[in-house]
Amino acid sequence: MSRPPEDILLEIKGLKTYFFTEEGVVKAIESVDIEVYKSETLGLVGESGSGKSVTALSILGIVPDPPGKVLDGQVVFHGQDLRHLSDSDMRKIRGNQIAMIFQDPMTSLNPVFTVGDQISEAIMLHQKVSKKEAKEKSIKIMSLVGIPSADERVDNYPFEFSGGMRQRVMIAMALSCNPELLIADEPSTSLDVTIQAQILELLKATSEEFDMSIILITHDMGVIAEMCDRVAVMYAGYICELGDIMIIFKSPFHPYTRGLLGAIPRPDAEREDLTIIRGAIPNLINPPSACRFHPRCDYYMQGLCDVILPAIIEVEPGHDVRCHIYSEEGKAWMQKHGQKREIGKVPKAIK
Amino acid sequence: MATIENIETDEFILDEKTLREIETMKGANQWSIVWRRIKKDKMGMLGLYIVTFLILMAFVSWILLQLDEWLTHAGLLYGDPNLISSLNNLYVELWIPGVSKSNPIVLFNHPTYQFADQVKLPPSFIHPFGTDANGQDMLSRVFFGATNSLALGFIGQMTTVIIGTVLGSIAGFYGGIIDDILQRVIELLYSMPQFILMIFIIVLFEDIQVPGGKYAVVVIFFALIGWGGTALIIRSNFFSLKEQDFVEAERALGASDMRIIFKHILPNSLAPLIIIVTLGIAGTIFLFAALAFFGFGDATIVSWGDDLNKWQDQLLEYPWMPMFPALFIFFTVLGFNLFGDSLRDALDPRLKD
Repeated sequence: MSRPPEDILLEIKGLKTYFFTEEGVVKAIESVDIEVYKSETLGLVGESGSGKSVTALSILGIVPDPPGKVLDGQVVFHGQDLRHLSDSDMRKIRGNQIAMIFQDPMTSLNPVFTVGDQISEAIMLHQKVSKKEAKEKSIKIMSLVGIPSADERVDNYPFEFSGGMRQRVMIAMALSCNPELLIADEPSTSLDVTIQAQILELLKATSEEFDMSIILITHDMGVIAEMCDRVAVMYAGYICELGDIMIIFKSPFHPYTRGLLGAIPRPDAEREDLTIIRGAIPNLINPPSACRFHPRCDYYMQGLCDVILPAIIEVEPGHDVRCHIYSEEGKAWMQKHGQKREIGKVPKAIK
Repeated sequence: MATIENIETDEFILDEKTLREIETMKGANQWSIVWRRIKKDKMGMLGLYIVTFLILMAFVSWILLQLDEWLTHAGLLYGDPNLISSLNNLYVELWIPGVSKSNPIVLFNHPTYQFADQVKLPPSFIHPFGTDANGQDMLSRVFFGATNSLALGFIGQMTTVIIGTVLGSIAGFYGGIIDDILQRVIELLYSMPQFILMIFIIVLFEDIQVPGGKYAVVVIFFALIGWGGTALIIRSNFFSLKEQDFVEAERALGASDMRIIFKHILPNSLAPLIIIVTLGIAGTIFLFAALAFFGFGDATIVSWGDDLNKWQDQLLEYPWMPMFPALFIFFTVLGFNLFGDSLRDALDPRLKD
């Protein structure tokens, strides 16, 4: 299922972002490797605090500094490393080629300007158009994202919009410059379920219309299943599994992915208890050694998982896993301890 | 029992609130919304009337003085050159028709003109506000003093607010070392009594010749040491505002720091700024008046503050002398405060009616 490398739009290699707080260094992202292909939707999923949003901010270079700092890694977009671009060059890319929408539409709009002003500004930041043309374009985009009577609503203030409508305004702002990549940071989390479905539908439709790639950040596996072509599962600053949506939902390899999928209630399944992942996400100031998932893992191999960080293993084409179960070290450990594990075996709860 | 027939029809008439909501939905212009809110506020309107009246007065008196000067230069003035003579008859005939031109009743004369035989007169028909110990008509003093009083307060306050806003915004937005330095400077400034510091500086620079007279020095140094309060308020405002999601969203759109600071966050701080300016104008007028009292003003300038301080020891004997300038200072303060309060409420789109 993997596509040729020339189809890659954005490639993140070894990204590392720390936050230097008074309590200590929060090692939010340790090593993230993702590639985003042209016009695909990539899901980025994980628990709260796993570093999904920080990854997004790191891509755009807008990690709040201080206390945050991107320490290492490459963010290659159109052959250039965004981390080495000057501030002004980076500003030309933000909002223009890579746009972002945020979780909370209630606070992501400036309360003292009309939505028309804000969309127009997004346009005028990157295109040489007059104020009038920008406003006309704003109205066009607003009706495109499904805001009724856009020519009147354009002069309204954000407080005059409902949550769903505000998220549409945010999407309109993001789309205003025809970005090649849209980073959607939990775009539907703060909305109620029916509005959620509408917003996701809108994102899907516009991504097809604009031939745009999307990085969809969420912790909702249902949303991922609905929207994405590929999915990357994040845990405590690492990508632990990355692959095609069908493969991952059918046969997840990483124990964490299995846990996540096992925790989804399924209306078609027989009544049985949902699996849980025991414990909680670790404190990232003092994260567990090596594989950060090992204290919560059912397949924990003592003396290996807490000592050596597993490398990324391509278990099948286009399917990467970072887990010792599939590594050479892991095999050696299992042989030594007389245990055997069938690769890719799906735990009972998932089926 | 309620049936379709006996429901009172006026239940279906939209109340004012709903009508307003509909108007808002129609995308009424921001300033028309602001204006509507101010109009609803009776005290705000009173403030607006007072402020408008005072500004008009200041403007008209300034025009008259300029005209007088120009006419004098052009040699077009007839009669007593110290009166705004060319205009006298106009006023007299306008206000008191039928008074003979050989003995005109002067409503406004040049503020520095002294009626040698009309010293310390109580308010009368000829001198509605009385005359002072130098025989100057108090009405004219007060009328022509408006220009300087308001202009000094306004210019002084605006300079401090602009300096304070720029420094406070940058410190609040970036935080860290910039903020630390700013705070220490403000503490340094505030550790000395402002008034004494002003006097000290004015004495130090007494001999400096600046275009604009002594008050130019006063205004410049007032701006240089007085910005701390504004800076602190704006800074703390920025501390909470910069954490808001729209700042991050704006960054993700590719806006520069300066754009985010001055175009996006600052308008959110408009409410405190308006309060600082309106309260500050009154306060600055007071400060400059007090400086004048201690001999650090400019005796050649006509202003309410100078007059008030000149005559305040006459309060018991000749109450009209200090009273009228004081009254106008009082109305200035009152007007600016009432209007500022109302404008603050009206400008804040987060307050719904």
